[in-house]
Amino acid sequence: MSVSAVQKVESEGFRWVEPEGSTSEHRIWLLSGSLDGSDPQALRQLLSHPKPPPGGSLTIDLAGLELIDTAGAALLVCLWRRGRSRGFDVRATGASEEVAAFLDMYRISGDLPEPPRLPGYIEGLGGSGYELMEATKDALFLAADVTIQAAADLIRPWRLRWAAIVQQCILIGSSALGIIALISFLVGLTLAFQAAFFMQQFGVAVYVAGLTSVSMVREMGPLITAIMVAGRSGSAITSEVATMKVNEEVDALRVMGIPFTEYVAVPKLLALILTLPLLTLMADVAGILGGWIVGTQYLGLAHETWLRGTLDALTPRDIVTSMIKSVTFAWGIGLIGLHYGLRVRGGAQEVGRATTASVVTSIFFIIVAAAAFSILFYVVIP
Amino acid sequence: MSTRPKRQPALVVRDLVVSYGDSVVLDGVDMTVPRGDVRVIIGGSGSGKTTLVRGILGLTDVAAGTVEVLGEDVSALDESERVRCMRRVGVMFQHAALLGSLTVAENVALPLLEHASYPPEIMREIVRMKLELVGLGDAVHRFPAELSGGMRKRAGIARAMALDPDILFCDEPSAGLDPVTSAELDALILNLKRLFDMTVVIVSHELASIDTVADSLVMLSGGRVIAEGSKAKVRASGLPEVDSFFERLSKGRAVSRTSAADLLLPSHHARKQESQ
Ligand SMILES: Nc1ncnc2c1ncn2[C@@H]1O[C@H](COP(=O)(O)OP(=O)(O)OP(=O)(O)O)[C@@H](O)[C@H]1O
Ligand SMILES: [Mg+2]
Repeated sequence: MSVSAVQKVESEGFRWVEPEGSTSEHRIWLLSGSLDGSDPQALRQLLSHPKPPPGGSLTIDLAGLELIDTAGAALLVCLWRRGRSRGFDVRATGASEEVAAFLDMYRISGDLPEPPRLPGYIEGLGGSGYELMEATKDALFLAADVTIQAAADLIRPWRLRWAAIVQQCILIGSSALGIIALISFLVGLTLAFQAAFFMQQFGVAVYVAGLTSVSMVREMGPLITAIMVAGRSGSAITSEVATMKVNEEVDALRVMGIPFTEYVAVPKLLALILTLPLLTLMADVAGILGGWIVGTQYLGLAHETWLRGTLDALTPRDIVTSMIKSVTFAWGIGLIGLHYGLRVRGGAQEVGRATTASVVTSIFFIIVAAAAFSILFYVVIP
Repeated sequence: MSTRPKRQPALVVRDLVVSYGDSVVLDGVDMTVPRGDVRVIIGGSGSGKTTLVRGILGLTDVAAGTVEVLGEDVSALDESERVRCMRRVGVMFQHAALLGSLTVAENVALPLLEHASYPPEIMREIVRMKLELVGLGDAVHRFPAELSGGMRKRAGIARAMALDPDILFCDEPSAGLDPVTSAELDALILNLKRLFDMTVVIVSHELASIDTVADSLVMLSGGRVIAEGSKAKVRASGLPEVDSFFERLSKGRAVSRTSAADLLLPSHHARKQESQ
């Protein structure tokens, strides 16, 4: 069966013709013009065009080719690999001296090693009064930049680097789970003992359930979780970004035209914002469990009484409050972490200093924000 | 890839001024690099060579002056235009600046993934070809921390070359390397320049390397260009700074001089027609 002469592709500088005499067993492709990366669509078409059956042959005539780049050379190699794996012959002929020299440079002949695996994700995968002012200005710009970028990305979620976000979430979440649960449990237990001590005197021990649960959900849960995450993940973000800055990786991204905000900052911030509320919920539950043990074992309340006391006191609003707080804390931890990382100038010793400063600032921010929230939720919009 | 006429300079720097606080590091630097040239920036330590490169790339704020890269005034471009222009520029940083969380192959793939929509099969092939080219075919899945200094530099070149750039900047490519590796690196740069018709701007202290690769030199001193032009012209300038620079370094020459011709691959470049 003969394939009649057809013009296959004609893009700006590239032409691809299958001439008379080309059959489906013995195909001939005439390539001319420039075979380069400026037209990925043409490369894709050449790759997916029907190939000869096993035992057949594909002759690629390069005589008309004036220009080739690495992408074009890679295409020829890909075709050759297909031929080898499916049992047809691939030959390139007629290359001009220049094109041949170019292909020679890449030593395209003989047996080629396998190309490297690229994980599908690979992100397809940071004084004086004047200095304080500058730092604040930088921080505000960063906050605006990263927040706007994150919001813009959330509107177009397909553009987000989900693999990186999920990986960060696991990093932040999984290792912190145990310690946060334990601490919350113990704080719940302590709160309940404290409350029980006074309430028993007034004979209203049953209120211990509500007090413990509401305190855990509204105040202690978000606070404990945020402080733990600031210490573990906020510091990790700062040291990672600071190291990238010191090693000129941030500059390298910039000259490659890859925005730092989109590539590094947004995934980390979003991962925190996704993970912290979940950790907080878990901390809430662990704290309530601590209180429950005190109530049923030490105070001798019935399980049912305890459950009723908790459910009566706890409202959906408390849980919403808990979530609003933890999202705000996450946002602050992320931005403070990034800010201190990006502010690093100089050598590796700065990384440690930045990390410490980042954690201290984060914890300060969390406590100030928690106080502000208490005023907001109890006084302004009770 | 480009079809612009050959005679247009690849890089024009006019009256560039950069200062850190009160200290003026570059005080009106002018420099023109023709296309296809290998230009070496020389000068004493602290004379502002790195600062000049960073200023050209927009990594350091410049107080005054203009930079034209491939005919475009980069200071006048907005962010997205700058990204498009930078796509045609490759940079090899002094310490390679590979991303530590990615393998060598992933580092090289990064610009491809970001800027080119090639089929994955072709992308992997390009990564392999670039890494073979710099002799890192066996280290593709290693992390930067697992490489030697010279290997990191070569990986940095592979990454800078990923998109077949029109201009390549290298900050001290051979500093800290042994003479053989350093000569290999020089040969690689020359080879890439010939086959890709690339313009190369190199910061270098090493006379052996300068002798091998440079088409022309520019010497910085006191924040200004004191000599610019062909190697012979600069050396014949008779300026005391130039003389002492070459005097001091010429002692090491006999040791590290390696015949570049032995290491060179075929010297025709594939884009000859483009210029006709
Ligand atoms: N970030 C910075 N802040 C303040 N001063 C700087 C900074 N970077 C460089 N300088 C100063 O600018 C001057 C030029 O530095 P630059 O790094 O450009 O020198 P160089 O010519 O590359 O030197 P070397 O050959 O040692 O690498 C030096 O005096 C240096 O102290
Ligand atoms: Mg320098």
